[in-house]
Amino acid sequence: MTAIELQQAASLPAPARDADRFYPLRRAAEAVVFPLAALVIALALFSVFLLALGKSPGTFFWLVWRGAFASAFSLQNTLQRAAPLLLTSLCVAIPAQLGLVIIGGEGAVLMGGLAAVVATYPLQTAPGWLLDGLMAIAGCAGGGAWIGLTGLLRTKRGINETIVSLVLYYIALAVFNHLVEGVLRDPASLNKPSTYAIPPQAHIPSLFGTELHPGLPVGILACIAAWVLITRTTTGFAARMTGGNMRAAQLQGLPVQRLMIGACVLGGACAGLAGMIEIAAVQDRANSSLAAGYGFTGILIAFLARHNSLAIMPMAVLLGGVGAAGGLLQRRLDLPDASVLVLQGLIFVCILASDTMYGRIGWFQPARGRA
Amino acid sequence: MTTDVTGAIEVEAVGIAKRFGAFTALDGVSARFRPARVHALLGENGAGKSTLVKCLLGYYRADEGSILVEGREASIERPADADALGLGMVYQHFTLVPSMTVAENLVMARADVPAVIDWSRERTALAAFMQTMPFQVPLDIPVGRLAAGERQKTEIVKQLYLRRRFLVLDEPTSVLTPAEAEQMLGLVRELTHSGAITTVIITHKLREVAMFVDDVTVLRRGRMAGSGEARSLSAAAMTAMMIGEPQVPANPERRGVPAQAPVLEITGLRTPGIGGRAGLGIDKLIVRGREIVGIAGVSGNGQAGLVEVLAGQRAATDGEMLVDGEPYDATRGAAQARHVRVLPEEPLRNGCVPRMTVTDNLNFRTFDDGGGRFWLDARAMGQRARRMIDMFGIRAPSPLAPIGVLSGGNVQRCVLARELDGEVRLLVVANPCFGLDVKAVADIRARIMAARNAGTAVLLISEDLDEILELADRILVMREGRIVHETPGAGADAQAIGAHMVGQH
Amino acid sequence: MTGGVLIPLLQTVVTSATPLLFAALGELVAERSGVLNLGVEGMMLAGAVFGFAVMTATGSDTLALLAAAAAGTTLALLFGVLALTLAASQVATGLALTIFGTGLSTLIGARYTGRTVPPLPRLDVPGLSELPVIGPLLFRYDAMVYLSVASAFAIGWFLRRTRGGMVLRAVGESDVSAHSIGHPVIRIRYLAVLFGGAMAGLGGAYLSLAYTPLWAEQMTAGRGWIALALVVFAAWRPGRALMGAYLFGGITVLQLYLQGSGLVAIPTQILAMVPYIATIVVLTVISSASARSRLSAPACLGKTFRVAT
Repeated sequence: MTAIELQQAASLPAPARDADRFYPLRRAAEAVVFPLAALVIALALFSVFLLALGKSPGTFFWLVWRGAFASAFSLQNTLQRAAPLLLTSLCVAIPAQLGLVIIGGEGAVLMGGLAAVVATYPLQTAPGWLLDGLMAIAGCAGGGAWIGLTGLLRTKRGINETIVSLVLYYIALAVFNHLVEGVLRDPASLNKPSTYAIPPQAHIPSLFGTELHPGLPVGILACIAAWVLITRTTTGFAARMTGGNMRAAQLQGLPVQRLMIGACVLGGACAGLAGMIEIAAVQDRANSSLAAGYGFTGILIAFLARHNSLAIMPMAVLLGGVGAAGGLLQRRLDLPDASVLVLQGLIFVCILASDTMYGRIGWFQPARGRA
Repeated sequence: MTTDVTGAIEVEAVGIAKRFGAFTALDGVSARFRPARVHALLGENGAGKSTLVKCLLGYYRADEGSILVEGREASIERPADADALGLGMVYQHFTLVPSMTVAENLVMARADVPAVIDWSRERTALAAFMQTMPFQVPLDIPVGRLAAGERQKTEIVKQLYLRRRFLVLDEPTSVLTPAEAEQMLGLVRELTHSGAITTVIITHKLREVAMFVDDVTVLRRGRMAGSGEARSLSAAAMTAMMIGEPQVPANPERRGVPAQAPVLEITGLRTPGIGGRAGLGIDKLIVRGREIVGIAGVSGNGQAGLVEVLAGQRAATDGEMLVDGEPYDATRGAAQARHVRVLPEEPLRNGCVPRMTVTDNLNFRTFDDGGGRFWLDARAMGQRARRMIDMFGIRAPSPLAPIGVLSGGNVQRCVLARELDGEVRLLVVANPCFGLDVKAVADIRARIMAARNAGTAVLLISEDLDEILELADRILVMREGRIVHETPGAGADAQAIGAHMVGQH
Repeated sequence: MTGGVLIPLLQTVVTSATPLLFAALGELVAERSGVLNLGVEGMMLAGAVFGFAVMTATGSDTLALLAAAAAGTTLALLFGVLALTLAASQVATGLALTIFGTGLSTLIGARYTGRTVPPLPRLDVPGLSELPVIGPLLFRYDAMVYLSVASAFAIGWFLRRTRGGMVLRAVGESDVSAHSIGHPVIRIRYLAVLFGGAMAGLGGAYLSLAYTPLWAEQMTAGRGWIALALVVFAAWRPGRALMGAYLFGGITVLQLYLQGSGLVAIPTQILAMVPYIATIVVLTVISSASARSRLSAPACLGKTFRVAT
């Protein structure tokens, strides 16, 4: 039998909060470096893909740069595309705070846009500001109700919200087409069935002689407001608690179901507002142009931004730029629109892979290791 | 099944070292497990017990050292190699698939099952095998519907069915009543002494060591701290080897007597049963100030349901709850107004958000000042968190680190700090010391006792009878959702309580 | 309706159910192993376009179907690397797969848009196909229809009667237990996910090679998502997936029939949403509190498994 070793316990470490002063900094650095690295890798993979198609990656990226950012015209085009994306990304990012994966934002765009058009019909002669206000309210209500329904089915029936929101998009599309090609159709719209136009005074003009419409400031404000709501208010704190661990939230007596439905309604309202702005500032009427895939691109942006509302802004500009360059790519490289989807898919995949690397690279970890 | 030879075998570890990155889990450990004897492997959490057995069983590859089986060096690189040599393990949890039947679980564990299973043949073989066992388990019932003791027996039957000759039992009695535990360990000792197997039991329970074990091996911080025959070692000597200090942490002192007026008063509480689990039917339950009421019971007899009702996670269908004479509905507002706190079991899973920071987690109860605030007050939250970290000695890399990276003891300290902060009239605690090491356990029990001494009414729900015997002023036994027995804590008889837990009094 | 209308109608039910059945069965196997792959739509599209491309190039149905299965499997492999090896979120990975699959299929399919191929040949079962009513109803389909139905039974048998099936269920019900017995959880999940990919690829190819033998952008039109809902509807049982697929196929065909017949004055767009509404209604009904206890979702569904160190 060995001698009993009487070793004293190791002395306690220094007071905990001084253990690693750089901890928050390291975590912040991790959150910037990883997505950037993922983006670079995705672009590299896409270059390989282009080479396989016999196209030059160099030309591709140069064209994207020219088509998206190089001139005042292309930059305006990019920002104009980014505007609705800011709002549709929030339709994913806000429910994501509660652990919900909502992918039916496109349906909320359609419902919001349609509701906005219909809201103007009884008041053809009202002043423009009143009509715009009504349209905004109707758009938010239409989109909010649509995604709220998903939240309701999730909380009351426990149905997978991802599947439901997507299936509801197909229903929204059918309802939209039915109304646009049916009772709401303007008989004058021959080739492309459309609703009657909104009254001219309701049209929202562009900003200061540019082509930019107020959707961009609205989207930016919405992102900032969402960020403040999520990180700076008690409601946002409660939402993050619920999303992080529902049992812990219930234990503290938080209204978990109400928070979930609320987040869905809020997210849907953002997407619905995107639809309303597209109508009021760009299209003037609802038709198939509204189903341009903003809701789906928003999913990607939200995931790329890791559901951080501030990070949504640069990501939306980036993807808006890629979209804006689409026409140029098609003309010069003979690449179809779908090649952009391939690029988006690759970026998504790389970002997911980079997500799994958090905490695995030494430099970003606290100096002391696990306590 | 790899061999028809049966009988206990000797296994010896020689100079085993295992490192995980910079952390040395095992540092040159040598231990011999003689055949047909019951061995205890003792040590605190993190002492290296499970790392050692995982090396023996091929789940880890040791960085240094060798393993001898029957005196010959064995190359065990993966679990299948250990299987082939007849080495097996019964884990504390999760080795039987709950939704599948006992028969399916047994057959599935075998390495030589044909690709297409002839169930009639397998059933005949299983029935014949069961005849040779010292105890029986039903074959056609899903494992999830078996009681904990039955499940543990099934695990052992499975190992014998796989013709294991060297068996490691990881904390085999942690979920059993004292009577079940004694029956099970008695059977294991009988089997071992009959020469069928060599057994190693990983445990902290020194009482069981004294009753059932032949040889003891103690690890501390990855090193051998001592070994010897169980009957030549006192409990104090074994404890000293485990924690490296001669004195056991003193039991927390109980001061003052319970108040007269009840703080918590439950009358006629009813909930429906869910999926085979008992619903609640509590006619009367009273907890007074400066009193710890311990609720003992076998896991799954409604304790979880009671905690959920008190925590507002589940609604009762009938009954009344009063706190300080006022109706209590377990909403956030009521909990704050009446100063009711709940410490759930498995705090990281039930009471924390792993990816939020330590500061955030420490402020879960107070971030909205009871519902009145709109803006978060980051400065106040930070100050509150630092105060709690200092007061409760929480070790964290930073207050802004996610709480998920903290050790189990520090997570439990965080939850305690959060829930004991401010005035507490009623504290509901469920299994507060599950899976914590000896020091953390002593610390946390002392905090609970201090809250009691300060006048708090404490309802302690625990599956660890020793914990209830140590802390409770009054002990209630719960079975199938009902309170079936009550006894004062002082001088309570563990055997009698155990009998009420299983309904054999 | 007369028998002359009814029999072709019911035959269309069978063919419209077949792609759903393939995709749902594949996803069912993946989910029984504990993996929720939301990328079914993307894998179906990849199968549809690669099947169509190979059919156009070689004229061989066998090669076309093999290519479709391989395409689905390749995307599933990508899913496996991300969600199983790297332990990324299964939900997010599935979405990424759908975006990628949609883009890839549209890009590759651009040059095939509007082109057609000869549909898969009908395999009449000798003798039986001549029987009145029963013959045309049960024995006059292409090989893939028989294969899909046989798969449902084979998967049921596999899950209940074989060692592999038992281990697969164990991995989905309790990954930790299965791991501790020594079963390679990740490898088994890979196999299940790859099988799911192959089946989704075949389902997609059935659309572009048999149901409507042409290529159109995003021609799956959400069938991948309906297949996911079908797995829930089927309570993870292959037999019920068969019933469910035929039920949904029936709803789709009824909708097309009513549109074409002009019997009922319901606008086409409203009819087009019937299958989707049916999905939501069915999910809502079967998820009611009393029914939920009977739904036996695999206990580890969607949870990431990491080998503890």
